[in-house]
Amino acid sequence: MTPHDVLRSLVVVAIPTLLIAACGGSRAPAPLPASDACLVTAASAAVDSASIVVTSPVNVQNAPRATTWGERFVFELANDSSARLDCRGRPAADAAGPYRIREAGRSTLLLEPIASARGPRLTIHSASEANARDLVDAGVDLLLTDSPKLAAYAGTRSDVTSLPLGWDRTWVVVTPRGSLAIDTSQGFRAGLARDAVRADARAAEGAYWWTDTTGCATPTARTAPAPVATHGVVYPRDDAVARALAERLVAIIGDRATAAGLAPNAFASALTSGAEQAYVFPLPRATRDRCRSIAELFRNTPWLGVQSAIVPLIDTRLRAVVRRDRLSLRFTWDSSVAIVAAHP
Amino acid sequence: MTFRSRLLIAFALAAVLPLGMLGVGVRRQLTARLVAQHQQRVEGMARVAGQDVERESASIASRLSTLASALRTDDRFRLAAVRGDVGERAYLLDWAGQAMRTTGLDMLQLQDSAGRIVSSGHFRNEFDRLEPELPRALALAKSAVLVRARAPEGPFLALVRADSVRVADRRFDLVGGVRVDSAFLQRFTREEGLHVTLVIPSQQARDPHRPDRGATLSTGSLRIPRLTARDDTAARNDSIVAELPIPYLTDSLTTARLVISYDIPELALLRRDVDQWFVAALVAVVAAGLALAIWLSRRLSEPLATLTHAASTIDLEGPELSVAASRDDEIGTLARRLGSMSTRLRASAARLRQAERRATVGDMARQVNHDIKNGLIPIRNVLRHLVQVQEQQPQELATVFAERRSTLESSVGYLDTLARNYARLTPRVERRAVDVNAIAAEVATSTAVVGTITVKTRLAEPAPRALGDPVVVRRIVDNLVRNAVESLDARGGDVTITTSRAQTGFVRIVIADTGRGMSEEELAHAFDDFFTTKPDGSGLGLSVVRRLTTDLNGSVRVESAPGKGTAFTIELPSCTPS
Repeated sequence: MTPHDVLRSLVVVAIPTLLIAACGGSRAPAPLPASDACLVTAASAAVDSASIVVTSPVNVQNAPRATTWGERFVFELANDSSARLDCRGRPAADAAGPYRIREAGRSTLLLEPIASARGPRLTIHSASEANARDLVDAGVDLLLTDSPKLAAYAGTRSDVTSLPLGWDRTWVVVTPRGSLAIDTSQGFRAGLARDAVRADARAAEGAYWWTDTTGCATPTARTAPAPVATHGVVYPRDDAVARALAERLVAIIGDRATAAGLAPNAFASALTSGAEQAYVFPLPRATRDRCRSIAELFRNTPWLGVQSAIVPLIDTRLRAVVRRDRLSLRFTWDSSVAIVAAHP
Repeated sequence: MTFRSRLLIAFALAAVLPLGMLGVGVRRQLTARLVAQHQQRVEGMARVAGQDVERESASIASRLSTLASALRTDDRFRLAAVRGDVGERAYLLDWAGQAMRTTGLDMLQLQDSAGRIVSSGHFRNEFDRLEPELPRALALAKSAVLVRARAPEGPFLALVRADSVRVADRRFDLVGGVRVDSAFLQRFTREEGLHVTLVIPSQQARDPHRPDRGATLSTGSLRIPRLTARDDTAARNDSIVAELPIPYLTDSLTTARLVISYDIPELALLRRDVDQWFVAALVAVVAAGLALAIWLSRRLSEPLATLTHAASTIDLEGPELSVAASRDDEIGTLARRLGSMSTRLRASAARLRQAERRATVGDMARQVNHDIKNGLIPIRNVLRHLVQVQEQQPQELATVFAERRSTLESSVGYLDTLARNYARLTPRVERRAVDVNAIAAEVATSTAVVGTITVKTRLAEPAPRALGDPVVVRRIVDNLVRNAVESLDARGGDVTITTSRAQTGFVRIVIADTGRGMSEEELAHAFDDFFTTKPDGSGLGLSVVRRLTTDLNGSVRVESAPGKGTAFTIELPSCTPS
């Protein structure tokens, strides 16, 4: 199990905490907003097909356990729309889908709604920033990216609306033995957000679900981490933000430290063993079931809590650039967006 | 070691040594010529490699110069680096990466005048780290230098140069270069058989207490093999080596070496062919040599062995030696000489036997003469006594005769027994109880004494009885007493016959005199045949005593000192063991 599995499980299970995190409020149930308060954009007419670009790797072989935010977006489309919640935590009955994958190319997916479902056919491109610019210039209906530069470039088109989504992920560093002195100051974290990563980031802030174990059955017997195998700071290989943070930590730690990107399975194994110096990975800011997420986190890191600490570094968010009057989008509980099948 | 083994070894050495020398010589000559042919070629390649490195260095310098020029007109760079515009900070941090990719460099670092990294291409997030030593050291080197560049995944080797630029009166240093890995080294291997390795000083080499052993270092994907020193080790390994020094910067400026080695496949083939022919010739020569050696050694050693056997069985009574005498070589000569010697030995042995017979007859005659004289002396003494009595006291003649009759009868009996023994030539020694007291008294009585000489007896009681022949015991005692009397000079003296029982189951008879005694030399030869100190002595008395004593399984020993007399001790087996 990787942190992405945790993420995935948290995404799948609906819980009212979604509303709290996505809308930036406290965990107490908030008064319901107006009926279209979660609506991002609205199209005057439904379209048969739409093209979407995500600047994140998408590997359908990983389904249903998403390892990147791009996979999380795509796999969510395959879920039953009745299980989805909007930003207020209410069922999003008008959400498009569920979808099935009709074709899966090297970087392009063709998705179509299952027989009883509504919604346009979707062509989803998983592209690098450079290729995404070409696709933007060619005209896409929706661009989801974590690159402010790309979003800014795409926003220069006159027929699009660019808007940031909610802060949805917190990037943490976990040191199994607490042997690395990580600066936890606001200034350090702000520096990381400003200089080290290229994503839309801020210093990590707010309350974190993993720090509140009230009412949750947390395991009492913890295992000590394995002896140090390397001097490495490891991160998920396809995660550019994690890589940038790990490299910055290595630069600060000194000569002997190295940064290493691991494949999803290798990262999960390394995380379970606790044999590395430090792990950098994202955790979702929102969870639908706090206790379940905490249990999942403890299961994936059996040594957590012995001498270790989870140090939040930065929060990040995605940006959506939408062609006007093509797609209707609605904020979801976890600060993402969902395609609306037909505007009510 | 046998003659045959020596012959085999000699043949083997005689065959193998010249052949071995020939093989080694041919190999060395071939190697030397081929190595000489290729040495210049490899050194030329090393020069070309050096020019390639220089070209690469110039290329790096050119690219850094271009970047430095571009920086002077880069407004966003000025805003970020000079004015501290936060909005352009990301541009500044990404500048080195972009520039590195644009110029094809693998390593690029921009530092401010304090040595603080403001932008890094190969390690973007190492910004703000202080590394002022690198540009300073590079400025001193004035050429491309090998460094261990730090990257997030670990250090890598890079060939770097430095440049600087002034922007708004602030100095910025550019350090850039290319990665030195197996792909980099590959460019120098223009020919098949050419190997290029980079040897850099190890970490330990920097320890002043440890010598530089040229240890290997693994950097990034480049595993640098062990140094092959430039000596004739290379030639032995069928390769030629040349080296190119390259400055290497660690804590201080040292030297790494680009080692270019060239395999000479034809040398290996040639050596293999030579080795094969050498082994074949060696086998053939050794086989032929061994066969010849075996044949020759057999031909030589077989007659010798026969001759040896014949010599070991030479019998002076047997037939003449005739082995191999008909051969006309050295062995035949040896056999004939051996036969001649055998003939001479036979003649000598015959003469020796004849002389022995003559000597034995002479000895016997002397022995008989001696023994008869011993028997006649008491008779003559008695007769002289009787004549003296008849002339002076005729009336006592009958009484004296009666007194001395036993002496006459005893002497006559002794002579009779002696005559019978000699008649048998090999007298048989009897074994019966002998009263040594009686014999001692009889000898003391029968011994003629003159002047002040006295023969006394000191006899043990009861009388000890020895196991032996009475005649032989009498001869022993008689001889010793007569010797003792003859040893006394004109002043006279005593001869004492003492009998006793020895504690070891023997009967002891001691004949002691107060005569002149014997010197050590006389003592050493006392029992030798024909040794005598008397003008008319036969030299047989004591030797006869020893032989007779031995015949009775007894022993005789003598103690004497000049002027202190002599004592002979006879020990004979007792009839009644104690």
